[in-house]
Amino acid sequence: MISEKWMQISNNNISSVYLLYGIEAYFIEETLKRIKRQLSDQGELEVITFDMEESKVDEVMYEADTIPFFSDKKLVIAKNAFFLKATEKGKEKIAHDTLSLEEWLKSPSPSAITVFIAPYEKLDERKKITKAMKQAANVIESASLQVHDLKGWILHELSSHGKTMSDGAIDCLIELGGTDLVHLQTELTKIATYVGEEPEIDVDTIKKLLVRTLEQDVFTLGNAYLSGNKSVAIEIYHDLLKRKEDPLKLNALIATQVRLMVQVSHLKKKGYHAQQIANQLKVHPYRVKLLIDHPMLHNEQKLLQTLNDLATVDLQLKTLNINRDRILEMFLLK
Amino acid sequence: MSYQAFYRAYRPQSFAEMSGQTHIKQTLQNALLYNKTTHAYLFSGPRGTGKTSAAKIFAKALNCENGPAKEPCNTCETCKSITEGSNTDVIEFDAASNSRVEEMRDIIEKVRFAPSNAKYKVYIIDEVHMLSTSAFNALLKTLEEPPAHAVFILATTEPHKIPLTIISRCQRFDFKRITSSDIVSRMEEVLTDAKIEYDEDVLKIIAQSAAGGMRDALSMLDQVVSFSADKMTIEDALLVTGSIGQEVFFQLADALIDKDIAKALACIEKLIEDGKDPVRLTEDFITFYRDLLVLLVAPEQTELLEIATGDSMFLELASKFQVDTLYKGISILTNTQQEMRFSNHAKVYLETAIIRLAHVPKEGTVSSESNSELETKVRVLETQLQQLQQQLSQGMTLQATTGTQDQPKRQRQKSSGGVKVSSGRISEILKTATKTDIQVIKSQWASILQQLQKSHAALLNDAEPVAASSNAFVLKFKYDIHCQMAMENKTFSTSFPQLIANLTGTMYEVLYVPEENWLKIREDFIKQNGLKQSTPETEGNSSEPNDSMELLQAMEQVSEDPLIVEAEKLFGKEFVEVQDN
Repeated sequence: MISEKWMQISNNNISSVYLLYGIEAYFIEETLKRIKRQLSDQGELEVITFDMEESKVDEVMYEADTIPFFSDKKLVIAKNAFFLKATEKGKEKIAHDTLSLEEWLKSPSPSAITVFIAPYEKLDERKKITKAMKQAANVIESASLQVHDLKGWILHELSSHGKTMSDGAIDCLIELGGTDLVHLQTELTKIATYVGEEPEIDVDTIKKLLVRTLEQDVFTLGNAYLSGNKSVAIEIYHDLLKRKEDPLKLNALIATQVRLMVQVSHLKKKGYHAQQIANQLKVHPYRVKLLIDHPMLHNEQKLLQTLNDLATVDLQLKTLNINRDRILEMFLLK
Repeated sequence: MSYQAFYRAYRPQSFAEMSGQTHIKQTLQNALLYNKTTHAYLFSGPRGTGKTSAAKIFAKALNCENGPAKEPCNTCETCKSITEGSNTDVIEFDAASNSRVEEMRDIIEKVRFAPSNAKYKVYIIDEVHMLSTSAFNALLKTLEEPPAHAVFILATTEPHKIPLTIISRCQRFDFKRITSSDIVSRMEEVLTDAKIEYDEDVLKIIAQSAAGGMRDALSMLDQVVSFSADKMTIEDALLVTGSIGQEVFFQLADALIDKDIAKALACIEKLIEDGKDPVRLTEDFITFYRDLLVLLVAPEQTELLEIATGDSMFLELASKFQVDTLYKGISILTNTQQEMRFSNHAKVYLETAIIRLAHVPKEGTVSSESNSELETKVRVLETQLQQLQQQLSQGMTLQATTGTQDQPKRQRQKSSGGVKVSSGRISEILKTATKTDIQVIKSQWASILQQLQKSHAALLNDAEPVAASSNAFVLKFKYDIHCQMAMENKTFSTSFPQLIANLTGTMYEVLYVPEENWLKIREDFIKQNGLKQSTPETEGNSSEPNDSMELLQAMEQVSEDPLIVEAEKLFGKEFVEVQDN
């Protein structure tokens, strides 16, 4: 669907108003990049960016309505169009005149391409302005990829660097690097640079170079602890401490993971599929996929016990007046 | 020339000189070679792992006149000027002291201008996490659309404090801790270069306490070198690194294991005389115990040890301890630490803690002894229970075999009604039941009912005692539901026997049974005993069971013969006398 829209753009079939929404920043960036590339092919590029959390939408309309100086069309970008999502009344940083925007959308400026960016999961469909926007604008949704599509994307991205990767390496990449496309893209560029002339990227390289996310580290930490691998557990723990992570925060993150395991274990017993579990728990399918065959799932008792212990650690962290790093460490060594 | 500290004099000037971080070096070098550099880098990692050094080397290599190459030449004018810090195109910016937007804007404004005498304008922003939110936003604007000649290198120890929007624009490198052996070999290079004699053990101690930070290691080395007159000794190193405790703590822990309290206390006394603070000492001792724990649980993680080392000496000491003992020790010391805060006699607390620590293993053995006592008791009780269960099940099977085919049906009723009838126990009572006993109860029955609470008495409206032995009697209920209620009502089931005891002087055990079940039990009992009576060998054919047999038979006839029942209806129970001819 998104590739169709991109095709349209590269075929110079550019709409005058775009609405980009969704949480996957990569697609938003890519779309913008393509529009820019297309426009700069036609002459000098004129881009004006507004942040809707700082400036009024009137300015966007005004800017779009003024005729560009050096090129046929100019690009007006309105970032963080929060007026399209559900917001609490009175909490908006800026009051936008959505009525006049509605009017404007009926006949947008022909000399400008206006792009509204709403990096939010959902828009408030009940709002009049959202309806008007969806009608007037070329809407491009930027949703996060499913596990399968993600692999395809990675392979595609790799081939642009002239590299390949085994299936296991891709799994490792997703496991360690997460599912954020922008992040994965920069990491892939980095790894591709590291291997230099080599065409194949292997698991070891990924493990060495990939910047681990905090969640990922905690996930490995939790796993190490649960499988009784204390040595690895405290090593990761100390790495995290070196990065000045607070033990209390780490404790909470470990608890989140154990809790998710309890939930997955429960739903799995009820006969849910991985996808259903992910929907039910509202977590990324990949996280569930990692846990669904986890050996600890059968030991619900131990999981609950661990959760309980973590609660005790939490209390101690908040009440005891001793070296904070020690408390969680003691738990991990137990 | 003024003296320059090691870590400044020996700051690496090329990638080859940098210790560790091989993967980062290779990536950066490849990027230089293939001209694949991006406009923003983020270097994160603990202090002293080479972030700023790598940034500087990279800046040099980018701008080197003899480039592009894997290494800066360090001989051309540009390289030299960057090393000196006088190049106007390599801007080092300390975000910690220039965290405000204005300062950030000053720099950003100049980004647009082309570099004056180099290829790239390189911005090295150190401690980038210290920037204010608005400064970050200003930086972000530039990072989003940087001019082609600008390269930003952000360095930080706390990457999680940087906004994600910034991080996602950068190619990120995680600098890892430098391994002890890497640190040692770098220190050897430095000392050989400075023509100073060294002792490898000393270097090891320094590397250990540097915990992966090269700068820490080098500045400690600096101190050790200036501290020791001509030859550095282990004592000097220990003194400088502050790991003086090692030996003392070893002795202390050893004394505790041997329960040599006198020696342990002497150790403490000596330490305090040396001017150590008891509070600090406790903290250190916790750390030492924790180190022993790490040695026990994860022996390969010697890098994480703080006071002890991975020497065989400590491994041996650790192996003398049990994990549990160490935990107890740590919790004792932790508590002591808490208590010390509110007292002026920290030393006393420490000493008591030491004495308690010496007792920890002993306590363990004591408890295990008492455990074994308990265990034997439990075992005895278990066997008793088993015997009882056996007896019970035998009783049940006896009944089952003697019982007729409708036995399962009864059981079903029982379970569906939810009334648990201890038929085995009842037949036990029946064996010893006597007429006199039941008479005693019956004679008191009216007054019992009167004294009961109204709600309780209501439960017993349709109930009557049907059999009694000297210490127990069976209470028959007409309806299952009453029986169940009586059984489940705790206040009733405790107060009722008490009340009876008040009136009769005997504490009876009361067994509740619904009428239906009672009839079955009685029938079974009679059959069983009937059989037994016919065989002379059967035990305990004393007068009492016979009595009860008569009684039961009489009752059976009373309640079961339809004629008699009819008669009772007509005249009332009291007036009907049955004569069995």
